[in-house]
Amino acid sequence: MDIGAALTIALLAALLGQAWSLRVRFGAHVNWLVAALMLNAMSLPAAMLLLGDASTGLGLLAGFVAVLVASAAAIGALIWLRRMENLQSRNITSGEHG
Amino acid sequence: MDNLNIGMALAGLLMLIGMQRMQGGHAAFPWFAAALAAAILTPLTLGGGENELILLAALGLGASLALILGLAADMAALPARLALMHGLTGAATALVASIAVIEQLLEPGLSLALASLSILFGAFSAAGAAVTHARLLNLLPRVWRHVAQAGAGITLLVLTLGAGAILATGLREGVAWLLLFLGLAAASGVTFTLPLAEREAPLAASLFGSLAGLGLALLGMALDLPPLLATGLLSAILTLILSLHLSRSVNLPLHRLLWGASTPPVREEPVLTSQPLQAEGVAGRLAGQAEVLLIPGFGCMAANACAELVELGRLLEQRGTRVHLLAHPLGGRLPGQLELLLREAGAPQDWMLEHWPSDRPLPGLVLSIGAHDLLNPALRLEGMPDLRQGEAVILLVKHLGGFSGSANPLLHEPQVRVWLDDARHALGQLNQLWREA
Repeated sequence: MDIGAALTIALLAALLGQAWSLRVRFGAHVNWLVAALMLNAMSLPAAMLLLGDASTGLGLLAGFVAVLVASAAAIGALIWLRRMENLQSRNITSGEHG
Repeated sequence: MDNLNIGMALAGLLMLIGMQRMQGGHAAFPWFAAALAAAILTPLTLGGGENELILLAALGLGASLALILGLAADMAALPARLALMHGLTGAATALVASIAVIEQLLEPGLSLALASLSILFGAFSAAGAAVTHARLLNLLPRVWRHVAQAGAGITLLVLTLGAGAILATGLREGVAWLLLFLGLAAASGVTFTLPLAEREAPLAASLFGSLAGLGLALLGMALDLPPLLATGLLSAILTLILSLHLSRSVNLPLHRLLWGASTPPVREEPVLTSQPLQAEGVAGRLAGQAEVLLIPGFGCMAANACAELVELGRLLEQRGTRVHLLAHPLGGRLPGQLELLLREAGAPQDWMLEHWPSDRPLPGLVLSIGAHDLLNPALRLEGMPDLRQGEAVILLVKHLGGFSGSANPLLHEPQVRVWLDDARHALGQLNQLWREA
């Protein structure tokens, strides 16, 4: 990758990350940690591509495990996000039994 | 790689929209789900290579594991699960970089150096997060600390960097050298994390997320995948700044996490001068109160007592007492976790408060449940009431030292009475008394 382009992308991503993180409500901190986890799980498509083209036994094994753990983390994080947002949107009032 | 880059950029864009929605307090799930679908479908539509069946099997197993990780635990296990999943993303990054080395896709020099660093960050965070996960689930019998731990940890890290440098320059090739490097990086992560106590573990897990993001960004540069560089760095910066924010709020500087070297020892438990209360005494004091403030903390969460607390609130409300439930963001292991636990237990919206306004007078009785550190006036946490101004305060604590071991001057205030018991057992007993009354 061209170093100039890489540095530009890195700078923009860093600025965006800083701008967002400084505005995060403390009570919603945990939602953002799950969002960051989803971003980290973007290794999944790269793992899938490299596993698809792997030609050695060890490459196949490493690719298989990489796809397995990346998809587990990504889908697992998505399930937690759904559960958290469901709870946060729940609006039980006094007198109702949750 | 171009088509893959377009698909990943689309997935990244959908995640950015999701995060913008999250910022506005709206549901982000549909956007993240669409992003994940784009991330999975892109390589599949590109053909899946020669190993499509193996690829689909790995995806299927991964989805099954995700169901276990995501559904087979309640909200109390969220920090431990987050630590584990951060570790899995780190492991995935290290493995993808390893495939690029094994399949000789990279030239010695900058690309191989970036991939080596990616392996280091990925394996370090994966091993460290696995130990953190075990610590948060109380699977480790004790905290391992030794006077030479910082020296040993730094030496191991230097050796790992040396092995990575040799791999990057192409002086040594072959699987054995790669495995040695991976093993050293993982051992470094374990050495870093073993001296950390339960209190430090959530912060460490957050930092491992940041390292995993950095590893992903470096992998993106090595493999010429700009969307990976952008998403990895965005994640690394986000988690790093959130970790710094959290570390300041809980008075736990990040440098204290470095191989647990400067973590202060736990103080001796203070001696109680007054007689502790029993459930009967607490029930008597609660009876007839017009307004009560309940403040749960870490002890309530750790004892899995949120359902009992909500039940107590309902019993009080049935007898005409107005109930306030202060779910401070720092009440759980991670900011916001306690509120989720209380909602999961069925706490009504109109009881819940995130902060107590400093100018609002305190109700006649305040009952704190395992919130020893949260209420410590010496820590001056924003949004917490100063209970030295309260009329009557009951502190339900399991032990007088609290979770952090910090001295709490509240214990010596005349209007403060202590109730020494496990939160779940104590509240269960109290609810039983109220039901029978």
